[in-house]
Amino acid sequence: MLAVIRCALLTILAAVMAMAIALAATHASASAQQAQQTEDASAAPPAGGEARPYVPPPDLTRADYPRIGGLNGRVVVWLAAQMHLWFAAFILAVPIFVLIIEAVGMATRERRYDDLAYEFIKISIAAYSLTAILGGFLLFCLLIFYPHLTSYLAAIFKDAMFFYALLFFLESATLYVYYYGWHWLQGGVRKWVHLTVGLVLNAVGTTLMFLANAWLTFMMSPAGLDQSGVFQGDVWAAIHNHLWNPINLHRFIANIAFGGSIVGAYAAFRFLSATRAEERAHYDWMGYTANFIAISALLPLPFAGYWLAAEIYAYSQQMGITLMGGIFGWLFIIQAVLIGTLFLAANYYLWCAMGRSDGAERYNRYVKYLAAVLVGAFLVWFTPHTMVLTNEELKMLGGPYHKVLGPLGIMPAKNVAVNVMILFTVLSFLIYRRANKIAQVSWKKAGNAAQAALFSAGLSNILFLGIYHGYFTNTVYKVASSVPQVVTTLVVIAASLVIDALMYKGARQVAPLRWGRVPERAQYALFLLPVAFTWLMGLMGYIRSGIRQHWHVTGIVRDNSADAFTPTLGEAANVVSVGAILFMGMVIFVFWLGHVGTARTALADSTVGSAA
Amino acid sequence: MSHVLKVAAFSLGTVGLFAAYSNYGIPQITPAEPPRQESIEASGMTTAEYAALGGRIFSGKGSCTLCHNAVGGRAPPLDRAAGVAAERLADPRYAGQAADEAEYLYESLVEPSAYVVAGFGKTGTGDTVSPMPSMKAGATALADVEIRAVIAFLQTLSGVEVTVEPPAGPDGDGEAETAEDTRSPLGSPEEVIEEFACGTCHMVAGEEGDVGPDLTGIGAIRDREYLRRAILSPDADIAPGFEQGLMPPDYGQQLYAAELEMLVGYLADLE
Amino acid sequence: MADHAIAFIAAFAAFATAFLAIDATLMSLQGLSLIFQP
Repeated sequence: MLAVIRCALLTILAAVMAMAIALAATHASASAQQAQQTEDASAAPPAGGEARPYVPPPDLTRADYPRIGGLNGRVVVWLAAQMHLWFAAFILAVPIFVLIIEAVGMATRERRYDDLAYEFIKISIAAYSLTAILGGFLLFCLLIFYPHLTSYLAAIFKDAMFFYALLFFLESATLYVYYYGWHWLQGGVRKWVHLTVGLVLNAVGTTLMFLANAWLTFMMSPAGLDQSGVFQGDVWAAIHNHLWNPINLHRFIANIAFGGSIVGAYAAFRFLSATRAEERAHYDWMGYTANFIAISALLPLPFAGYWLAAEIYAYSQQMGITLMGGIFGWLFIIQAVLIGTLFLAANYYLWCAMGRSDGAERYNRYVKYLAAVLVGAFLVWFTPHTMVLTNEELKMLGGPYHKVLGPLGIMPAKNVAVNVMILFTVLSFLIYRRANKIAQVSWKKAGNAAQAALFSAGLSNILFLGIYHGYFTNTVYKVASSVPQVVTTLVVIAASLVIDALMYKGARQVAPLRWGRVPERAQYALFLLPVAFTWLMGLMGYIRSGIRQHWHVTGIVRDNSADAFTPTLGEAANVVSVGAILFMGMVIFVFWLGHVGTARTALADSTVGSAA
Repeated sequence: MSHVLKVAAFSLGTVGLFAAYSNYGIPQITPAEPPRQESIEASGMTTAEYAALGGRIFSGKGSCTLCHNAVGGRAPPLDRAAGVAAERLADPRYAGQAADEAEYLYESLVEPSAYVVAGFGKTGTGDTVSPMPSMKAGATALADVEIRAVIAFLQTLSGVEVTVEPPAGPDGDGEAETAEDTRSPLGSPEEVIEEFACGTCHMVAGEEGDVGPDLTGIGAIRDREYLRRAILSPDADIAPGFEQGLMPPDYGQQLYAAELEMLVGYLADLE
Repeated sequence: MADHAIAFIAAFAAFATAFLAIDATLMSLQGLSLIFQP
């Protein structure tokens, strides 16, 4: 009875929070509407002490940027923000897949899922306070090095920022109840209560991210301002700016991929240092599950990224073209190398992992073809279009593009390449899953024919759209054709999973999967993934921020500091690399804490023994 | 323990590879310095100087060449823009309020959707909405003086008469904040030739341009006065077999005085 | 083997048609036809 009341109370609390959020949002826009109805909004401040906020953009000079000793404020804030973002992404991701795994455990009634979910959250618990510490550090650095920009943003977002700060109480409460109450809230209704707490934790975390996303997207694509850049009082308009939702979606999905890969590295390391067979089997399974989470989230990510870039173009053509056709264009080649690494590593892991199945030999011969296609797609993916050439090189080449390879540098070729990489990764996964099974249904030959036809037709369609619309029509058709391309990939993924699920219903296992029977190099693929993800996130974070160039808030607040310049790619990559190494060191510390928290020395045991 | 070292080495090595690729595998472009805000005295300029200012804004602060360039596809070419202005005004699709050609050009800079050239409108709008932002808004924010300079430039480019006046006197809106990239002076004539890409058109300093006269041994046949005039007012003397109007007329604004003298001295010594 | 091939060809034709239909629908939702019309 008590549990039911607790459950009801928590649900009511969650509902109240949701209402509070909704109220805050509508209140902000209602008061802004009132404000807008009072005379026209030009640069004149309101007379007679009205409540309408008057936030003119600051006009900064070099003297407005404080310095501390020999520190470069720009690099300090850059690293602080990036470190905070890496940790925040991690702690937002873990509860998502922990909740899902817990739910799977409840549905299948298999204890191992519940234990796995608990283990994921246990090893990452120290990351929460580190995220908060880094957030606080970031805020201090912003106040110290960019005080005017920070107070300008705070004046606009004050309601949202205050709410953001308050939400951390709820986040901590739900996190600690969810973690510390894991073994207490077991069985029956209690388990449902626990799941609800986890759900609220995720909702709060997502809300926190959405709020923070509003500030940085406002800096890129400001909204809610008039022609002269004065804030009009509608904080919802400022939050709901052009890039807010694309960043929300992209970050939500990317966090899951990133978080999964990090816990996968933990599992890989424990696998390598395992001494007993059950330990190896357990960590092999943990690593596989984490990798599965990471790759599932990786698959739709290019589409979210494409939407984000499309919205950047829609907001400002100049920003869009600078992003991909101008000085930042080469960054996307580096990005291509990173993404290719991710896909190759993920597939390599799956191919190595096929060794767990006794029945895998019959599929081994296909692996080289999968590898060839993936490598080929990767090479296309990373071929540049416009090259920076000296005059002699221009003459030798006969133009700014390579005659043969140049056409592979434009977007349609890249879209084909990425769709192919995604489909072939799904294919690797399907083969991995089949490796251990023998289908028992009567229509399995037809089923295989259907699968082969599905993939062939899908790939042909992707090629048709990419080549015909990409090279024989105009820009409008080129861009538009990427939509059916994406949909084709998604349809093939969904349909193939359904067909395989049906085909292998009641299938006979060749033998139980031999967890633990996987070569060491497969674990290194699990290290490569988070390293590449981390570095890629750092690079993309730099692009997102750097695309503003010499503006703090695009077109509104100009950056007049000594560090307003855009660094070269090499310089940016070096800062990202330093950050990545710092981050990885701190993550190792987090995992070590999670592990050492349960370790006991002989002395501790003997003390306990004698006291008993 | 060895696992820790191996994994650490692997991770650091991977990060190192990415950093190395970004530093050595990719061309290191140094992005332009953020434009410095300076007031320039546009009053008292001649029409040619005003058009030249417009040209610099066209390629610089206005970032027009980002879309309006020879590659094409993103935006209509502007080399005859001032010439077709009259047709555009008469076009039934014209939705603006300009009364004459100069006003049309002004309007296309501040309200680009007044007339959208066929095929260049935003997708799905039937060429009624332009993807071009207003040049007065946002990060570009050209002042009126600058916009009129760009109009003067476009009119010069199209070969029509320049109808916009540079601002009158010091009391007129002679001040404009414009983004002049101030660069440091170059130290040698070879650097000047490289920086200003003389070799694109001339045979000089190892380059083999053939749009303009061969400058090998030019010092033997032309004196310093001629050479200086050729740089500052290229159309004053045209070498036989070549045409007017090809060499940019604004090197006088772009070169520092010391650089001009260095260049003239270098050419005079080519014998 | 022959009926395997027939099954494949039939399925391929079916899927290809379905994909083309999806293509045409999605292009027309964006105001364009499947085949380029300059």
